[in-house]
Amino acid sequence: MENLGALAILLAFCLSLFAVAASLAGKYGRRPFLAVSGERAVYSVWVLLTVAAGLLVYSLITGDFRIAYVQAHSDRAMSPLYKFTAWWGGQEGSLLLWSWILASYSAVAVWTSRRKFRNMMPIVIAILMTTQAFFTGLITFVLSPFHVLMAGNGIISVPDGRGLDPLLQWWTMAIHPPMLYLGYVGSIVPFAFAMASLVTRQPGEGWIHTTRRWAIVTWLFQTTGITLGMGWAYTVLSWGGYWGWDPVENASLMPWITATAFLHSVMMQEKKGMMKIWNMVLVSATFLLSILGTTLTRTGLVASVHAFAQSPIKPYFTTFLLTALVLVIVAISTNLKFLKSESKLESVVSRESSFLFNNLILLASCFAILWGTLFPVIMEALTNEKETIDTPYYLRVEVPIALFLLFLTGVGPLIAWRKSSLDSLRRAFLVPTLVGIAVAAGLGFGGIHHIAALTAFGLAAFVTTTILREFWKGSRSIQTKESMPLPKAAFELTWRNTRRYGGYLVHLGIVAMFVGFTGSAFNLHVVQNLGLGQTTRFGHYDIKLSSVNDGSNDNYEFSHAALEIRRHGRQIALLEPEIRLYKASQSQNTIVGLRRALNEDLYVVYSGVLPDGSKATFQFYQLPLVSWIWIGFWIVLFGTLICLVPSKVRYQYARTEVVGIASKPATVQS
Amino acid sequence: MIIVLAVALTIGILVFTLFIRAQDVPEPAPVSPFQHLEDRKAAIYENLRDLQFEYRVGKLSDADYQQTKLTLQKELAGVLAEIEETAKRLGVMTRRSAPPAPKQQPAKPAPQPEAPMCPHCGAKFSGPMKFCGECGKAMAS
Amino acid sequence: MPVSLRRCSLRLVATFFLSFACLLAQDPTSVMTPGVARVGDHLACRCGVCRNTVATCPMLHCEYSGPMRARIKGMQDQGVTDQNIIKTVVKEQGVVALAAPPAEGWGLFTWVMPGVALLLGFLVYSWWVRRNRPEPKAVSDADRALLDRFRGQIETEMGESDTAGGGPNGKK
Repeated sequence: MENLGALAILLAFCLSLFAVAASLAGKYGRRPFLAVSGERAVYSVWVLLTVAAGLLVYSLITGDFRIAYVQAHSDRAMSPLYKFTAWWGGQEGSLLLWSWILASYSAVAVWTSRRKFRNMMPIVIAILMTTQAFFTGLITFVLSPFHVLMAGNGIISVPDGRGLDPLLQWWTMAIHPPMLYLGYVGSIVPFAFAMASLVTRQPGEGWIHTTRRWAIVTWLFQTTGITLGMGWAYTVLSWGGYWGWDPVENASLMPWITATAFLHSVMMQEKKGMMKIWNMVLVSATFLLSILGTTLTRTGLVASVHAFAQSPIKPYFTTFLLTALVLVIVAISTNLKFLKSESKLESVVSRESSFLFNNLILLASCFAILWGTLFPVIMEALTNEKETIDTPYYLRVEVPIALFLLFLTGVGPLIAWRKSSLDSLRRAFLVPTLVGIAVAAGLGFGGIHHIAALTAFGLAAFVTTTILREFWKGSRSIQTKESMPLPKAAFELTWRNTRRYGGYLVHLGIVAMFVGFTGSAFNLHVVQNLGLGQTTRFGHYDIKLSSVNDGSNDNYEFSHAALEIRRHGRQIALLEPEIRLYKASQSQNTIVGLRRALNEDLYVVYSGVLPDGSKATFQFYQLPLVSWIWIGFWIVLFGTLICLVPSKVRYQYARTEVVGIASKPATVQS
Repeated sequence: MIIVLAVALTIGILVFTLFIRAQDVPEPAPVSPFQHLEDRKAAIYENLRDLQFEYRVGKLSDADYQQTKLTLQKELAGVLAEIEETAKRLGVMTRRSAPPAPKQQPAKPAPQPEAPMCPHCGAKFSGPMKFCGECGKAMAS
Repeated sequence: MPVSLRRCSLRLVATFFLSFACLLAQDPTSVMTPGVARVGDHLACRCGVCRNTVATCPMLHCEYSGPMRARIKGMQDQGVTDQNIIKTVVKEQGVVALAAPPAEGWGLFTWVMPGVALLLGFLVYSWWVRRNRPEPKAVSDADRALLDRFRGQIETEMGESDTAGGGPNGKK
């Protein structure tokens, strides 16, 4: 079994190399059959990796404890779902998942574009398969998931495995890694197309039309993956937060930021043929940052919460990353002429300019994160002096940037493409600005004096007003023109330009998320000891400890507390936080008592019992507006899905067709 | 058993990858030399549509609308001229195909006006024009 | 004292707290004073599991933040100022104990670089704007001739797809 799996991966590695060679030879040696063979190799790699992955999952589910990976990441007591997710529970399996997703994306990309871009495909395949060869090479020669446990010269089997970390036995955690991987691995497809169009010097923006859907889908996966991670941290890690600015979290955020920038600036290339170099840079940055993210996560380059041990693959990753970086720089800098802009900027006050500005700010925030993540490493290498860069740095640097971005989110739709005069600006900005100021002022008089928070709420109102007005004006126009009821007109409006109005919905979701983040400025946190039956006042809640029980089951021992939550004398919730001690892994875990509401969450962590046994210790958190983060995510999801629906009407224009060779000076019938 | 599977897998994969029959190699699809210009043209038409829409919902002042419209039309004219250039340079005859009908509504064939002909050089055009696209002289006779 | 609480998990208490024996002497609520939080906000929690500050580390029995809080409390009780407490800790462990590096020496780089990057971005932006700005000139005669030459085609092509598509933005 394990031999078959290892063989499949080895074959996949060889075939990836073959695909690279065959495609390039096919293209430059003008041998079409070699190019076709290269395409076939892509499908073969997918089949082989699917076989390998299937075998690993089979071993996990049947509990084949001869295999080291199975022993290290699963045990008999785990449910089949978590046995399945143990596929990506460890280093080797994660890399296999990476390769498998890459193989799947490659196969789909080749299948869907093989006819349309015959000229470009060999290069696309070469790029995809070079990366594939790197990853399959790693799991073939360095970190094989199919290593067996050996004692002397014999294979041994152990009775049970060590199990999956209980913190990871949680549904959001089960799908968080594959979601992120789908996002990050996916970024390679637009990258491959972009580079191929550069190398083969395709005229026009063909690669953009082909890859923009990819870009949106992978962006959605990234967003989902990050949000799942936040949701998991919030409900499982019991520290009342969802984002810790850990290197691995930062690593996942950086490619997301560049992908967001790309999704915006790509519109300028589609509409006006501008910013071609810039888009190349963004698409490459997204790919390189995804690889960097994998490097950070997988090699322990930077000390991180997501403590993966120092592993032998660090030099490989670093080499791959640096080589790719150099190649990208060479490819772009030698083709600058080809990337020349086709049109000019008509005015500084224009949508184009605001897009560029938004890109600039996004990249600045990405750089600040990258800097905070890597500078301690650089500094230690240079000066041998250690420093810590924690949350305070990120808050101080990122909050102003984020507020400015929020502002631009509202400004963008208000400025017209190409040129906006003062008159147009006045029309567009008056109402949203007034609403924003009114909201901020109202909240200020209402007793909120946190400047950043007031700004954030004011801007959120500003952006929401602009977006709602966009929908309102558009719908009204359709309503009057085609005399249909307003809701139907709004639906019609969205359907006619799904990308634009879906995009606005995404903005609305982002605003909701920002409102949720802003709530953290008003968090309350206390530590409190409570005896049985004792009541304490926290925020606007009265909290009474009604019982404490302990017990044990197959999997863990536990201590369980029950707290009655009252407000204005009426019981509104019964929270039951718990402490668990898992038997297999001997690790401790707390289960949070959580009451979610739109205005604020009440979050209770049971921390243990005082040494004399008289009282139990609790941490109470009052976390305003957190729910809006998750609501915002659902809006983003919905909006992105709308973007992916094809618009109702696709205009077609008269095309020029070649009908024959002109014998004398051409007769052109226009 | 495992060995048989392994051998079968290996052989299967190799056969699939390496044995390419002649009919598996597709004919290279003809690429229109006008493709990217047509794309560009379509993009500008879309920009014009967007502009009209934004003007209608009141986001633009009259002056902005007129000016941007003119810029866009100028760009369009540039692209159309380039299409002609290209055709001349390649020495091919071209014709303007009617746009494929969108799926939403079965298209009623747009009534084609009588094709105007240049009184000076005899070139035919599908739409009314002030000046001939070929010789540049006034079309009005 | 409530019976159920005392019965509660002697075993658990043992497993949870034996390793943190130093903490057992102290009720965790007693060292979470506002003063401790004030100082703790400047110090990184170095337990290696979180990225919080000593003030915000949620693990009451954290191996690093717990004793550190107790120490800060102790020093404050002796009348040591906040600044001096931080200085003492930095002297012992180096700047690595601070939650964010000080804005001096190498640490200055940390704070300056994002600003420099932003500035650089603005420069590139203004360069780009200047480079891409067309000379403001009226529509030239050549342009007008070109436009006139193709106006008919442009209008028919827009119009054609309009009648075929019945789009939202067609001619009024």
